[in-house]
Amino acid sequence: MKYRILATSVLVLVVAFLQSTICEYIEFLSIRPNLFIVMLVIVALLRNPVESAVMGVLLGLSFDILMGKSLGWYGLLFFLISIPISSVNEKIYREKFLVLFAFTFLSTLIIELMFYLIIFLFKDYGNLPYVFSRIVLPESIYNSILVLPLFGPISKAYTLIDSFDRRRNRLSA
Amino acid sequence: MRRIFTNKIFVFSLIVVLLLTLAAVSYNEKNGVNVISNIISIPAVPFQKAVTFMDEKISDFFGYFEDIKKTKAENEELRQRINELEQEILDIEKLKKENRELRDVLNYKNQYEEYEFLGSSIIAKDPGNWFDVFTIDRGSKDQITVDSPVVTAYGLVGRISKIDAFSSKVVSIIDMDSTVSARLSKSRDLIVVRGDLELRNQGQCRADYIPPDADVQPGDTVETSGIGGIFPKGIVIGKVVKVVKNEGQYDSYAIIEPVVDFKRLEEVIVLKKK
Repeated sequence: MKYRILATSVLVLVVAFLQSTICEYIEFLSIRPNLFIVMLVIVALLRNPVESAVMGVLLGLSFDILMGKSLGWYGLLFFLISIPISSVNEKIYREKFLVLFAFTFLSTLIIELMFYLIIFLFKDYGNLPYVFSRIVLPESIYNSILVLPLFGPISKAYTLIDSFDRRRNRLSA
Repeated sequence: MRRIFTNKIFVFSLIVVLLLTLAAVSYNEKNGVNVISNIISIPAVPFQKAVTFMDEKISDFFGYFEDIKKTKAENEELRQRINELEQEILDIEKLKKENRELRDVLNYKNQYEEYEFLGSSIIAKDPGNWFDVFTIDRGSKDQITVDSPVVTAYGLVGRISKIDAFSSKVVSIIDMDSTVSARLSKSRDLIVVRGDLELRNQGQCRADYIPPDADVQPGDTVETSGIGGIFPKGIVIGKVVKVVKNEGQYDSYAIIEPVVDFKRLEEVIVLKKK
């Protein structure tokens, strides 16, 4: 448990650091990938619903903080999306590229369209075709590609953390 | 009581309500709840500064060899320019003296006298694809306040929207949440300059509420009007690049090209009230 909390904190901080610095340099067609969403999908595919929901809230709130606008909207959206993914993660072949691609694509699509709805309601901005074709769709594709090389290392890191936790529990027992 | 907290639906609803409350409370930029953003911003600042530093060093290294060639040619040009400028300096000194005397006669108040200029570096750009907010390395330790204007030597950049201990967020004028009361330099007509999601990618913004009888042409300069109390009067915002006339009384709008290049912005100046 101790290692898992430490790993979660480190992971959130690393993602926050990468998103606010490196992502600027890997823009494609003026679109940046969203590492927070990529990480959310990976964690939700690997962990149980409680851990995924906690990670969802933490990642979402961190993204809200970095954006410098209202706190909580991405926290809420990440929380809501993490639960259905983590509930079905044992029933699917999560290592398959197509599964990873589809889950990331759909998650980004849903999260960003819901965020557009919030902007539409609170800021009265209504050009959906532009938002969909120039922001949401390219970002969804970009995130879906980025998830493929990242899933393996993070999956291995979690396996390692679990083995540390099991060894620690055995020793304390 | 314990049974309630183990009920999944209750916990789920509680988290949703808490997050919605947080979003509603933090909507106001000056609200104290925004202090929690220090959790991420304080540990992130040294890393963001390190990346900015490395980026500068790498750019300097590759630019070095190219610079040597350019320097020789520039040297010749600059020698000629020095002679011209020396004459101009003499003229400026004379004008300065005259200006000072006239200001004294009119008892004219320099609006920038009430501001202190605080240079700062951009340490992180906006993480997402919706807004145009960036982080600077000045925070509450430097006694800057929310809504402090942010400028460069060329013109207006934006305003401070959130302040953490060692860093602050700046909302640029091309951000969709930004609204600036402005004036056309030539005709003195009042307009409103605001950010637009579609124009943001081209580094542009738009001018709304153009009076029907206003004489606005491409190439006209737009500056702050001083109305609203956030930005001092007369800071250059940009130039009109296109005017779109519509039939309604206030339906016309103009596209503005800011004087500041937001893609390449590295250093800014915060105007801090004395």
